[in-house]
Amino acid sequence: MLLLLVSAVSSVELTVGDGALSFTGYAPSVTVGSSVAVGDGTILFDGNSLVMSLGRSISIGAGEMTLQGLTPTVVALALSVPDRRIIRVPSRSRSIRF
Amino acid sequence: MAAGDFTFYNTGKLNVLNGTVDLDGSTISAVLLGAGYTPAATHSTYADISASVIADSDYAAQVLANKAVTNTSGTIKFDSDDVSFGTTVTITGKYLVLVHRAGGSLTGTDKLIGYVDLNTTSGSATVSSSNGPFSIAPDANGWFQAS
Repeated sequence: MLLLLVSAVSSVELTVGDGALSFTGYAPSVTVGSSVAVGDGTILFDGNSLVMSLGRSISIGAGEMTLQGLTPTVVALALSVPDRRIIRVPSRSRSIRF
Repeated sequence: MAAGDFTFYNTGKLNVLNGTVDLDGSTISAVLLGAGYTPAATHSTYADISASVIADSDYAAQVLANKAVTNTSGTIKFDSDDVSFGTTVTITGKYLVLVHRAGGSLTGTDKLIGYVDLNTTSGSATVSSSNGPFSIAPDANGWFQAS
């Protein structure tokens, strides 16, 4: 009986359709961002107000947007925060003007 | 903005299965293509996509780091670290392609594995960074699985 069993097993062959191998791809997450660099904007005096404009548009999402990278001299002149060198713009602003 | 699933090129799958591409033992480059590229399952080598590689000055192809092929109860996962094209870069891309790099730099005969549409909103929708980060993180399930 043992010999018969071994003989039966050795005769098994795999053919196309006996099994399946599938590949599944997954979506990665993408992170992109924008920031203001030195040279992106200009500052000018408009009557009684100080106006800063940027040479390109920046989308503003929920919460607060932080502009970094301005030269210390410009930041000190504009907002008198030379130590932090950061200017915060409210999210309701759709254009950056301050 | 949502990225699409990783999609194999026909020969990409073949080369993985026959061992031509050793996923965790060889160099896999991540390449960005523009919206002018039209994916085709029959594309097989870097020569098929090289004309569509983006030309942004901040861009350089990246090499996948810490690649891993793991087995969990018969499900095989291919994963790697996130792919960062820089933290302060201005880049616009549409497709990410994984390429098996045989030598020290990409050449026309290097083999394509698969691609991801980075913005499936439309056929022309891209993703952009502006003086900011541009990075792509594989899903928790990896780039792809075989089972």
